[in-house]
Amino acid sequence: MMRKYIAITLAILVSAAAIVFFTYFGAANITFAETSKIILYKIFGVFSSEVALLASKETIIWQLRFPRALLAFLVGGGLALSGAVYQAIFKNPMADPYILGISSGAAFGATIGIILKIPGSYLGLNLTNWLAFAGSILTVFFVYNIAKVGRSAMLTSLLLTGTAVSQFLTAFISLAMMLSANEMRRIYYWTLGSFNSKGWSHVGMVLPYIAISVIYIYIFSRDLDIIMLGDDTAVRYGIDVEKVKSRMFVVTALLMSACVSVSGIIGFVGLVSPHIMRLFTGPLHKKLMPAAFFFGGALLCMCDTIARSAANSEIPVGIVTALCGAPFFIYLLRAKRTEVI
Amino acid sequence: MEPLLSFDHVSVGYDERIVLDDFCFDLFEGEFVSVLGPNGAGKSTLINAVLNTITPTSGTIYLSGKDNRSYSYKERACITSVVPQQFSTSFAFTVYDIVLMGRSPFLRRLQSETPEDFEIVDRALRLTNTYQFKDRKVTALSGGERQRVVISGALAQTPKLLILDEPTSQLDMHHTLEIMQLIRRLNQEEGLTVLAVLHDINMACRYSDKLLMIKDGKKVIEGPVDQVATEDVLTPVYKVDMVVRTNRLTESIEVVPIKKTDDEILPYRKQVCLVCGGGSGQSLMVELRNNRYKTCAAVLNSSDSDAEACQDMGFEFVLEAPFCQISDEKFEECVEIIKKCDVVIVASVPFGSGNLKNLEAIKKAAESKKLDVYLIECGKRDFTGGLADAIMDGMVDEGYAKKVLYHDLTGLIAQNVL
Repeated sequence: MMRKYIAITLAILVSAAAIVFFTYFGAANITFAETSKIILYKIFGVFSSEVALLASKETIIWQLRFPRALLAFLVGGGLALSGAVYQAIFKNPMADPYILGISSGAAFGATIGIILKIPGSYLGLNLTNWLAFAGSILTVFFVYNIAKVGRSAMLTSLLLTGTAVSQFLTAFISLAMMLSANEMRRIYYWTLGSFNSKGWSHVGMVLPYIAISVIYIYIFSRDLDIIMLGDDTAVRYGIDVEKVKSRMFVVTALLMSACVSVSGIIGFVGLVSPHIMRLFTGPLHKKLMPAAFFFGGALLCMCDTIARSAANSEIPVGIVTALCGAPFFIYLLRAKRTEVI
Repeated sequence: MEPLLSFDHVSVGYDERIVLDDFCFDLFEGEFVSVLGPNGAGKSTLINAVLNTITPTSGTIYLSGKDNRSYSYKERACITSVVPQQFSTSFAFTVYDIVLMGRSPFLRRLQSETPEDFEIVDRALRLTNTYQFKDRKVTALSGGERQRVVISGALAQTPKLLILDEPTSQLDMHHTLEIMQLIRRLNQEEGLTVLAVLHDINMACRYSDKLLMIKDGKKVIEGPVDQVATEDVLTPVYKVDMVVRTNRLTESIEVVPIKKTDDEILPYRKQVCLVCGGGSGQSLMVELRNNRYKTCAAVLNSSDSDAEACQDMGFEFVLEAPFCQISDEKFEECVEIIKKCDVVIVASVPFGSGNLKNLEAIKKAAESKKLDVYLIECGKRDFTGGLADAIMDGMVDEGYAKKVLYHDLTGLIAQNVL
């Protein structure tokens, strides 16, 4: 029991340190101590006299870099969490959070937003974000309801429907890109994912979904363990599989839509974070869920730091996650070959 | 007494297809009932109906006295657990994790297991002989080990009713016996009620109290093993020609399938009585049986191998004490048996004072009934000083007996012109 709390506390502290550390990285000449002080001042109100002298740096840290790092952390955690849930429900190690067409739904929404160029914003987010959010939610519920027969949704028909709907929407996006060459770059950029110029309002968009779904999914961790053994087994062990599944689909759909709407499509984090953590925690979700959340968060936070500071111009973070994540994952597969999956 | 599980005129199926039709069945506490039936008979559907993964279109299933539909999945899992045919996962749970999940119906979400839960799990692991690899990954186990883990998990649910869906189809005979003996022991010593769907009729006969035979969604028969496991019941259900006998080693009823039959089971042809002994009749018994002759045998001594062969094949015969002369009483019995027959075959058995009365019985029976008698020719067989040869020659002279060679006779049997 004690060990569990120590592990959680440690994970939170390490994650906090990681966020601060990645906040410190960047072009402007700000020291690590200054970064820490500014953040601690903003959160706990300490170091007020010293921070008063760092006004311009305070803006860079508190308005630009810190919310961005925090957002990357939350989105990464959300992706990893959803990945773990999907891998359990689909009993398929290949499942990732985009499997039901969330990504193409969001991209479709964003494409419409970019092309129509409707001005205006709501709660600090522009219309593209909201259209992406709506697009992905509508897509996943559309897919779910198409695949559903009676009370239950067959997993294979969910996957196939998801793939078909994805292809359909992707075709529309490609068509839109062809027809409006001016916006092609922006649409393409959006689909590669980025935290460029994201701030507190975006954090505000994601945070409630993260908070609710982290708790909600954690409550269902034993159900997910058992569902992972197969739907028949779960029924035998007294799990109302369809009920748990549909609840998980709702909560992850909201979570993923919120994440994707602010970040664009970031691959790989949702797929590999649960796998990598499973190597250390084993498959039981009570341990896996928190581990995957913190790892996914830290991983994306790191990748975003690389994305914004590795080259002169910003690299889309989705490219970085795949560039860094894939070789690391392959290395792990090789090194711990017998234990993976 | 109220049954633990009761099907009350239940019809259940998928979409439009009715699988179980107006099905009635009661299972009482402490019973071990095996469900038998050909593929597609509705055995698995029966289990799914108990689990409520399909609901009856009419009729009601009662579990522990309550309508099965009124239970939540969780409540039901506290009363009944199911061992499936096979189980596999690609995720590396440990054996202990899996068995511990058997306690989940008794726990609320986020509630931790109590020491009692761990005790139950330890016991379930020990019972199934899986305790020694409780920390191994379930992905690294052999099929047999994995199945024992699944049974362990089912026992960890501390069920009142254990349902087995062909639990040993993946196991070798060592583990099959281990599992079946374990389940039988739990049934006898702890009063665990068992409902087992089994393909292996012999296992079912050996370990269960009762058998339930279903075919095409309907109950064919239900009852104690010796009433259900008979050729008359099983042959039309499985469309297989078979021998049902008592295995002297396991002392249980055993079914030996011979060959599959066409849709229609041919009626018996003529009834044949075999005069044999000392192993001279065995090959003829097989020929006669396979060609659908209803066969019986004249008097045989109880230590005779032909007597054992008759028992194995379920043929009627007259049994005399070992190494004794045929008594008058058995002689009369023998005459009656022969009178029921159309054909008598005298195998290449030697005759001495002990079995001479078999020949006399033929002669006596022939006085009141028309018989065709076939005498198989062989070397010296008369050890009575000419008495036996005289009787046989007499029968030939009177025209109802003829001497044949063994392979000519088997030819006649195969061509059904006996």
